Amino acid sequence: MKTPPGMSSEAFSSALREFAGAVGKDWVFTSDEDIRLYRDAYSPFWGEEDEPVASAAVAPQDVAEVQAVVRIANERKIPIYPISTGRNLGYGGAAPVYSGSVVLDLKRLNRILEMNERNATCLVEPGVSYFDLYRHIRANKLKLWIDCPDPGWGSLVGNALERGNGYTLAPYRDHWGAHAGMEVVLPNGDLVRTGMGAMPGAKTWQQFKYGYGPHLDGLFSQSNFGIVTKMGFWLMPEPEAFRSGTVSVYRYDDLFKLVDILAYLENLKVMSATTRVESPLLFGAFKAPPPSSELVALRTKNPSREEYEAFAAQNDVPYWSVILRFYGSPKVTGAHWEYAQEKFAAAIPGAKFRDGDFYQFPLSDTVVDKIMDKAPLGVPSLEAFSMGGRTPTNPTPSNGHMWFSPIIPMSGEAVQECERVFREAFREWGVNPLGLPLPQLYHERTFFQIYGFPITHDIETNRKNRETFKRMIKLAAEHGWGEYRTAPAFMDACADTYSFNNHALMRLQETLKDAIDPNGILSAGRYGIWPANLRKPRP
Amino acid sequence: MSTRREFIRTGAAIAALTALDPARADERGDSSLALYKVILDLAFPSSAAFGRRASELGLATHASPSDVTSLWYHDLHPRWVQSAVAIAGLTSPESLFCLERLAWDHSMRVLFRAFHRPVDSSSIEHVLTGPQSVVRALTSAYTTRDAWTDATAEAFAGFPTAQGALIQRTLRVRGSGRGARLGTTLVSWVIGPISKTTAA
Repeated sequence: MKTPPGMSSEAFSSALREFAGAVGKDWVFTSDEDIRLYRDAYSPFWGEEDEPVASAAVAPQDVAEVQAVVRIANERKIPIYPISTGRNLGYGGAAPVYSGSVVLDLKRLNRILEMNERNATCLVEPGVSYFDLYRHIRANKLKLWIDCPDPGWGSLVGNALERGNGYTLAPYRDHWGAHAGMEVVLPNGDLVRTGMGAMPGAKTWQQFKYGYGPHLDGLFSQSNFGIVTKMGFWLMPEPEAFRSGTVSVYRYDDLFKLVDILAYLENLKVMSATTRVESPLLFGAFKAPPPSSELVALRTKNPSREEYEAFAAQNDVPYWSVILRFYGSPKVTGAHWEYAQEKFAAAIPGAKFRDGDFYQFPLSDTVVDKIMDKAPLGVPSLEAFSMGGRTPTNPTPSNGHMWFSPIIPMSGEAVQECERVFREAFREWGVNPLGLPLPQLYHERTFFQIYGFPITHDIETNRKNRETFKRMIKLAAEHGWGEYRTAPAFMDACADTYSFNNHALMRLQETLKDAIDPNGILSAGRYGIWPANLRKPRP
Repeated sequence: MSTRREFIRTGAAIAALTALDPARADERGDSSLALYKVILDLAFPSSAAFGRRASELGLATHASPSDVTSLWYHDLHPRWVQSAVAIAGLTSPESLFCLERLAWDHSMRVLFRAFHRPVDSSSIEHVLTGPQSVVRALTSAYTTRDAWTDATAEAFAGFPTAQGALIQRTLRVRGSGRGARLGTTLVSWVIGPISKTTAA
């Protein structure tokens, strides 16, 4: 039997009996077969001794049982690692950061506690997935939408705490920003409610985020200060219509105006859905036809900017393009699209526009099933797993991926600089990450770049990719670009780049950790925050 | 006189038919795992052939693209909420990756899995993990029969409810155009309720 570090089998067995007393023996998992389910399928340490793995798992069914488990763990100084649905693939999955921790599996806390259609809010437990909430809404014919990441089998609570994103409008696609109130079990077993939830009988827990006094919610996001057992969210009312359109521009320097106007429309909330800058000319684009043989030949010649521009003009292949998505009524979405076209056309001579999808709601399941790219319509799917999947042209897809995704300014200059810095670095390092060196608009007022590395079952390849990833973290930080989220393998390295004033932020986090979790039982190492007994001296 | 190949095929088919008839299963003194659905992916000719044979054996088949969202959302999830029922398939590994994890939430595991990988245009490597009886039967069938997808469907139709110890076997089989016909790695699998044995 694997045990937590430094713990004897006898002591651990005794603790497991106590856990079983708290949650029932059927909900304490210790067999190799069961523990295997908590491995990170996308671990960059796959098959290595350093791969973090659980020693056991415990699955409480309600808050009282969570509190009981936490109290036992605190008394016996057992490291525990809460997960919601455990499907945070690419960012650690269900595996603990600190190997040997006991996974606290919250999947059984899967109740949708409140749905407020008139005010478009909900209150859910951590085991509720995007699919669960979507199914509930459809079954009850509620005029509400969810905003989901891809894939949609993860937990609302888990994804929000990770500060994940979706694809609809800005207030909702920022999953952390869309939360309103939470209930948290502290490492000593105490139960806290934040925001209006701190007032017994409050009528606006999921409506008014701030409550009274310090707004502490952020302490429980990307951290290890408490276990969130309930969380409220603002939901999007079902719009009458959805409309998309594509803006295409044909010269390299059009990038700058393209991004400026995109930012203007985003900040005015004329167009505030997730999107990305694409280059049909350089790399291809979403739903764009495959490149012609002439374009393929051109790309291989390392052409100049002018040669590319000439090709773009002659062959009607845009240098840059952006898909805009609008939500509202047919009339409002049409007006917003028309206004967006006016702004781009006035600023960028030669800009072209193409109408995209148009839907009016509600849609039947039959229609929904046929739609590709469901996430912008608030429909969860597992499509992401098949997108890079097995096809005649891609017979050996990877076993997973890890993403390097630094936040950069929302400007054409920043896009240009980031693309250049990493292109030159990759050439020097002799590496070739996956993905396109073009930015996505996920978080308001910023772009993020996204570079991917395949997870293989080849130890040497994974080792090299980990090294490259760490070099990219440092290189990005040297240019003022920071990761917004990362896999456990890189949490320390990323935290280390947020080092203003001799790591003052981390020192504050450690002070809080020592005060809130003096025995260091909860999610040791998560986002680089280690308890005192496991903390390494900073150089 | 029956050839060895025909004998195996007939034997497997009888086992399959027995599995569909509880009374005959009782007569035989054992039982086969009842499969709610057999999943195939029409993007892959080998999977389509597997599905045809499964259908001939009386199994309910369901064609799904590699994106299993619709299959799971509309069909499997509502069924699994009622009770855990077994499914089987020959699909891309990506489809199994999703279905396996979704099945975990309903106390089910992969009870058998076999990767089928084209080594070159004329060879396939089969890596089988599952109950001893099934792995042995398929190891034999794969080396003696050209239609390995038929053999797989037949084995699944007669998949034992009591699985016993798991074993793993790897074999490479040569045959004209076998690897080319397969084209890409696929995986055949059975997902079912947890039994006394470990999962594959």
